[in-house]
Amino acid sequence: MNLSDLTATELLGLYAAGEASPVEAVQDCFARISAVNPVLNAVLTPLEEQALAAARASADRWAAGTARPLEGVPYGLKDIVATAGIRTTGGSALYADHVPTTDATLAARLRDAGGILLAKLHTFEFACGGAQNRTFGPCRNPWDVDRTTGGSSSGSGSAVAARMLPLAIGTDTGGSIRIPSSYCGLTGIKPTYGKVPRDGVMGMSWTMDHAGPMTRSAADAALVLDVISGASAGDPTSSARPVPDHTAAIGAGVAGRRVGRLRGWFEERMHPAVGAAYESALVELAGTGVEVVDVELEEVDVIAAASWTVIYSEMLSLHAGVAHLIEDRDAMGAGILSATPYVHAADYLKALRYRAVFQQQLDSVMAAAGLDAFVTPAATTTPPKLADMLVDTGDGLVDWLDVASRVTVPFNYSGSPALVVPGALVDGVPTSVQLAGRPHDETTLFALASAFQVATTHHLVRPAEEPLHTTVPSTAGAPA
Amino acid sequence: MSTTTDPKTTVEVLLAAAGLTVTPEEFDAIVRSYPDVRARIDAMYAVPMAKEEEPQLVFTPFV
Repeated sequence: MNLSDLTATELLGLYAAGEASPVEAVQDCFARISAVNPVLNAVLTPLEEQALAAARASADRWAAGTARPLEGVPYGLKDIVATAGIRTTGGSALYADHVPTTDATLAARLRDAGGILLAKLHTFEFACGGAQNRTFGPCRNPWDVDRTTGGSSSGSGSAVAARMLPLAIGTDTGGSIRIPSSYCGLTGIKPTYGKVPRDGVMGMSWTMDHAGPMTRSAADAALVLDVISGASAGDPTSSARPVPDHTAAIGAGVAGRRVGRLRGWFEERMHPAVGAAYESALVELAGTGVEVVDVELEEVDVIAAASWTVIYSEMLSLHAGVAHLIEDRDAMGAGILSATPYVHAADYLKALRYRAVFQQQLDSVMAAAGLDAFVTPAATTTPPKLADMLVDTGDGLVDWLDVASRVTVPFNYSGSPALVVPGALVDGVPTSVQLAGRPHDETTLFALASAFQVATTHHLVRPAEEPLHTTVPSTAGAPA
Repeated sequence: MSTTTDPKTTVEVLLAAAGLTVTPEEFDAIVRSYPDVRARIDAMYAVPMAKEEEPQLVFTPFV
């Protein structure tokens, strides 16, 4: 048995039974990183020495009966999450040698819960720079190494899917947890706005930014969210609500729950094969006893424009200090930054006002239809090839940015929790389903997701091994 | 907030005000896309909403 193949929940079970140790798990993970990272480029900064020291301390805690919730569980952090004494690059040449002096709150919480930080992981530059990271090279999708993982939590998606580690932290401003989770066949959750504090996490758009776990099961995602949620003095936007026991929702009955299938906008520009996989997933969801009913939102086409109006405004404000260095940045991030000045103050305020209208609309639709959650596809196409970053919507090839975030960004804008789970493969790569819920009601999403994963095996399917060990031509973007 | 100003002039002025420099090719692409970007933003103004809705949130994320 290779311990790097196991989920966090499975590892904790073996540790508790005395059938494996954190030291063995960390060793297996680093052996896996050595074997496949040369192709995938998911790990920017490996931390083997300190991880092994932490694993030995964890083994002692298990022996002493003082294990904590994540005792001895290896994990990775997207490299926009600050780590004291460990370089945090933001995926950018501008921060290539940046070493923070304090941990992000969520990083400290993972460590204090007994988690073992194995590596800082690849990210699109500043969480918006594009798949072709000119400083660190592209990160590859384990399901098809010619394709992108999506982003911006690229390394988190690739590393967890390739079994380098069982879980990682991603961040999500317009879909950056859910898109790579979808493209890489993972379970990922963007929690309610404010649930996970973001102090120490590089910002892009402060009313749209979220952080959350990317894992290989709903149970693991709940386990991590239990640890990283809750108010932080360092983040005034973090929620003061008590953190519910998300793990308790795993395995809860879902018979009789009602889920609203968002039609129209959310199912447009979808490749027919991806659409067929989505239909199959809805049948599987209904097979758990959930009632799936059709619903639609009004004026939904305005949501994307309003969402990007907020992102542009806040991004320009946050990045104003480095705006003059735009020529040193990756193309996609520079392109987004170039689009930011065309939003006026009145537009930004209008978009903030429309946010309240949209939140109210979601609430009204849920109340009128008696819904517990919404369901949408998590991506309407398969992941694009790194060579051209074009996706096939069924009506032709388009730039992936035209469609990648259309089903995800509305829930950044509303602040609602949204969780994605893998569906069937199409062309050998994963499809995915998104469940979105009421603010602060992640537990319903975990109950639905875990029921889906009891009824299906999509989350257990793993990428083929051989391509992960094949040398990639250096012209295709080896790390610089 | 729609504008009747020539897109090229608008893009030139706003980029300069933001301190951003782009290549001539990128500049041309931005000028081409600007009317569409502006139209999508202007669509927000067609949605009826009461001024009293700002800044009240339906849910308060911090509590």
